[in-house]
Amino acid sequence: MLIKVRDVKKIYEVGIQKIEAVAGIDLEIDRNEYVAIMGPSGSGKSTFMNLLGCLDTPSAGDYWLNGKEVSNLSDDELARIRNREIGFVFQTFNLLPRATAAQNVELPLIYGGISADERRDRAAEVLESVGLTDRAKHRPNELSGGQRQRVAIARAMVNRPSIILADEPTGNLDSKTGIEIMSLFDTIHAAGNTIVMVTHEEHIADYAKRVIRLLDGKIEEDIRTD
Amino acid sequence: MSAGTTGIDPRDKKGQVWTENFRQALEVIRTHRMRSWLLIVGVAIGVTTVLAMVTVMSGLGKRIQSDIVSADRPYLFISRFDPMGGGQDRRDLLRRKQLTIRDVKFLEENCASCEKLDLQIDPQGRMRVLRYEGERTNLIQVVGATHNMGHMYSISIEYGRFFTEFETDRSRRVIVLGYGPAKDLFPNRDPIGKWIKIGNHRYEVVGTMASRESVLGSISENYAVIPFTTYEKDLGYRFDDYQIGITIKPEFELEEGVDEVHALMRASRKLGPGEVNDFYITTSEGFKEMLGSILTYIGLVLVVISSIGLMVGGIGVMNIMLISVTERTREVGVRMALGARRNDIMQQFLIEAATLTGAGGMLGIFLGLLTARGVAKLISFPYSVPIIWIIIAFVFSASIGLIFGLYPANRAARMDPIKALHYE
Repeated sequence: MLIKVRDVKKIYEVGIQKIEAVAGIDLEIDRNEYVAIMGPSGSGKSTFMNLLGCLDTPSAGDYWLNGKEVSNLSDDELARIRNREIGFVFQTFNLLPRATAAQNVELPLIYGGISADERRDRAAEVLESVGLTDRAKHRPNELSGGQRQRVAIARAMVNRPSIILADEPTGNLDSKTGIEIMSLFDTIHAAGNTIVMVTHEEHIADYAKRVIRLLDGKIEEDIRTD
Repeated sequence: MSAGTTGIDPRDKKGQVWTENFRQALEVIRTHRMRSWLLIVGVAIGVTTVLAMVTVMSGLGKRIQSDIVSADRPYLFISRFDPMGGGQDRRDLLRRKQLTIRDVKFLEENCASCEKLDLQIDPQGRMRVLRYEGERTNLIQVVGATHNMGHMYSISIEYGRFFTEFETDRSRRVIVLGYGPAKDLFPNRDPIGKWIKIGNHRYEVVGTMASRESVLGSISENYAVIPFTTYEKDLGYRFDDYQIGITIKPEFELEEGVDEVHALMRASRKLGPGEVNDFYITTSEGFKEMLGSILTYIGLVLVVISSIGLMVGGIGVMNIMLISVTERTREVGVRMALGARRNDIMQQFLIEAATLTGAGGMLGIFLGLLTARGVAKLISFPYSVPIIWIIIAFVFSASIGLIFGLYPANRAARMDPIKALHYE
């Protein structure tokens, strides 16, 4: 099992009030699954996503990622897990504005301690796989929205992570470009990668092979569609 | 291709992150050109001031030393007590027997290493006015000495001569004028053979001294010398201080001279084996060293004062870095999401700050040396580039970036990646 989450909770204290953003979730995700997490705002899907992405640690419960217990790691250890196991794709792309596409893609490799030569080769390789070889030297402001998201996806894949976490990956794109990006995800999935995606759009969730609906911090529904 | 890790521990290759952080720093400087340049110039001004100060001080120091210790040959100097010594009870020291011409004669007869000896009476700051017809000098020092004084301190005579042993023995009223009083009393006139007045006594001018072109200016030229015997007769005062100057024969080491003079002085002053010295021997070398250390202290104080400018630059760095960190909150979040550890983020901003101030340092070194060179030319003293200070200036300015960048960098490193990622 790639991801195993057992009775995970995330509780925020606001003043004297305690808010359970994630109120006890059990979940298992296998290698090469394609999962969409859905839910209205306030359902806890973002918080759960942050927990899955090791950006945050749960208040209670356990989380095994790729066979390793990660619910109680230090900041540095979490950074290492994020670097090796997780590829993030954000709604707003989050590329570094001053860096070229290639430099953006190389970033995870730098923090992974990969040598400059190998970085260049691997960045070129993933940029090619998203069809942006000719845009490698361009900065984000010289790229279209779809191209930017492709760069972001290339960056997410460059470290060959265990899972790719996508947070509303088409939220800032027009529908035509959105479809292009989703078909790119299909290709990536077909190549054997595991994808977990947060979205609130049904037609985007339709691309996934499994849809998990959250409500009030709990799983309301978990349907496999393949 | 889904599986697994890269197999490389990020901690094994810190160099990758370091290089990226440095590249990033240069990139930031390039994109925020105005802001970065203002900061670099700010730091550069601070470094310029400090370095110019140090360079001028060290050149000036050498010049002052050579001016004050203006002898071609090393010499000994005997006084009743250490002129710079503190700690002892001064009244006790003042009660010590004066050094006398008997001490000088005793040394002259017995000292094998001594070349020439001079007894000098220092008026302890009492000043006098010299007059000639309508002209008068400012207040100057009139010193009593033997005929050997001129030789001892390598005084160069412009007109006439120094007074002789004969004139000293006979307490003749003869006087050698420093460059200052000679110029004041005898503008465009030959002073030799003229009779000037000090108080009610008249003295024949036998010689005048050449200008010393000293950085000390008129201080070292505004005095006159008369035979010490004449001084005792006419101007003697009970608080006058007697000193003996001795040059050592070239075939002897200075230390040998000191040892011999020391032993002979004890004999001359009839000190028993257990008694402490009632005199004090300085050498011109020791004097030079002491001057050197005084100048070092003065220099240090000046450097401290001028480094306040650098501190201001440091505060500028902190300000800019705080702005930079806030502006790039999202970037910090992204980097953290991609695997940057808190230390990597910290390092990134520290390197950025140090690069800025280091660049300022280099510019400052360049401008500082240029300034010092200009000043050196202007007041004509040897220009010396203290390499060690250049290194210190660079290291110091880079450290300012590190120190003042610490707080902003720490702020960036402590960010919550989730909040940072969603910062607008």
